[in-house]
Amino acid sequence: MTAPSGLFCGCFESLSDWYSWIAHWREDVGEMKKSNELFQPKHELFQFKPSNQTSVQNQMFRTKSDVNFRTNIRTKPDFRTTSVQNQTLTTQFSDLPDDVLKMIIERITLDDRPKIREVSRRLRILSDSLPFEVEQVKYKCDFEDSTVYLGNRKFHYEHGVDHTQPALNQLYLLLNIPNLRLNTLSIKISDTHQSRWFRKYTWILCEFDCLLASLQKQIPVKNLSVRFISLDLLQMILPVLKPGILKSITSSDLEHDYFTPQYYQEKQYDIADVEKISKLKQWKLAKELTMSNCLASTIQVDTKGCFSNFKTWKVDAPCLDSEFALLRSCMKKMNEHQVLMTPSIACLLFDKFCTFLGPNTEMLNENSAVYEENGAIFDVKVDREMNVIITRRAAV
Amino acid sequence: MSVENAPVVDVDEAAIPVEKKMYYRFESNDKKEFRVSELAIQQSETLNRLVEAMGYTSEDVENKPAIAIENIDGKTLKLVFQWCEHHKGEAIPVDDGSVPKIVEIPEFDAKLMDIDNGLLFKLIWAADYLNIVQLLNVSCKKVANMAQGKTPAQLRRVYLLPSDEEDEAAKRAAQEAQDPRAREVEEEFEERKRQGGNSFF
Repeated sequence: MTAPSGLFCGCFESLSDWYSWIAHWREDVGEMKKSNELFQPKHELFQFKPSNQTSVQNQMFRTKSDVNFRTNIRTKPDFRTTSVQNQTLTTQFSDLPDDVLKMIIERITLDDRPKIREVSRRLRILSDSLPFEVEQVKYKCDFEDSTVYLGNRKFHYEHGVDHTQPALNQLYLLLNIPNLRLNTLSIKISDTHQSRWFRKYTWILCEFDCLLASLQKQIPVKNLSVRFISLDLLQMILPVLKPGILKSITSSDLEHDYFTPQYYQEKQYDIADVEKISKLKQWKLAKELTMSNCLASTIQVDTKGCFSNFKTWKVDAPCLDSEFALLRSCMKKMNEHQVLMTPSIACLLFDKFCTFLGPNTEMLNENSAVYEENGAIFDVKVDREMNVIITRRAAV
Repeated sequence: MSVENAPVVDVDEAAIPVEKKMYYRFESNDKKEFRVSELAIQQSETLNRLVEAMGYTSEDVENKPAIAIENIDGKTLKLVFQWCEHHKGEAIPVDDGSVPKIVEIPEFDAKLMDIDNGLLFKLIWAADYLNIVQLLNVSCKKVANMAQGKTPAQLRRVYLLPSDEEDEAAKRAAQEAQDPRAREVEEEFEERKRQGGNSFF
């Protein structure tokens, strides 16, 4: 018999450990040789032919009369039954059938699940055949550090060597898990005016593109959240997501704190990119769109009529006059089936919001108003969470 | 050992019927007999279907021979029926398709499964064979918990599994044992290949 190659790999703490392991292993191989079923679940060996005695095996699916007939007659025991009865059942983990092993794998926590794949070939095949459902995979890359989350598990890479490459490798490993199903995929790549970081994030973007291209599969993701300075990232990610599964897209710029208002005024999105995105099946089949800190781009997109598929369309709460003008422009392009939401007007009372919305706004009560423009009537309401909900009335 | 001389193991002494209840008799492969209530049997889909098909009356249960469960030994069957008696009347859970499954092991089950791995695997095997969904559920969770925080090498030791290389070696050894000529043919082929021959024959 060939000795196993893992003997001196540090797997065993003591010689007695090794002896006990090799004894089991030899027993296993011996049994496999005898049975000529090297990779078959061994519990099959115990499923012998039915005897004449009333038993679970031979009576399970027979008719009532048949059962009674058989149970009344007891002949001498079958020799095959006797031989099995005398046999000692030495059940090990490897004796368990595939279905049971799958049940065990399904109950292993997400943290330990990837390790199961490395234990043995059989467990790898079984693990890969099962869905791997994760609440969220999150990738966050800043100038100082990078972080990758798998559910609650955090992989943190700090500034020092190069935090971006190992973080991207980790992200690749996670996204490459067979049968991965994600509730939320969140990608955030920071942007600052620092020239060093600008060069770096351009490089990250290229690497990220390569990473997505090498996945060669489409991942089922329900919610996508992208935070980046341009729409490039969204354009890269959408094609690797399974169309039809994706319900919600959140695209946002970075926090206002990083930038001056001038920066936003100067910033323009490439309409060609917007058009490309809107032609993707993933975009067309999604139902909810949230665009934060980028109302200007929202308007540009809407001029191309790329929003008709979204039932809910969330935008930032407007504060400035120019932002209200953009909001009115959005409303004009809405259809009757869409809902336009601004998440919170905590800093602005509803009556003031209505005043800023325009002179054609008529307050119905403290929670609702009607806005009219060029014959189109809009219902404007505020809910308990201070969200303003705008719907367009159907034309009579 | 004849059936008449087989030891009779009452699974739950406290559960001796006050009112008229049916207690079925089962026999393990090492001839241990168990008396199990009708309600407890409902936890096992296999046994439940079997007793329904048999349609035994109270007299039949006493007079007819015990139902043999030939694949399971007495020690394992005792645990199985102890579990069934404790959980009798409880609803059988339905799989919601979520992964990973969130399973909590009740205190009684944890104590019951405080056994060596060999017996635990036998219990799982028996729960699968008798189709006892909730027992299978908790026992699989118990085995899954063994994997917590362990490296693949440690897991191999816990589950007594060979690595891929060892598995390959075992496969080769098995093949060689089956056909010793195969290796010779392979070596001859390699030798001829080295000599520059285009065809083996």
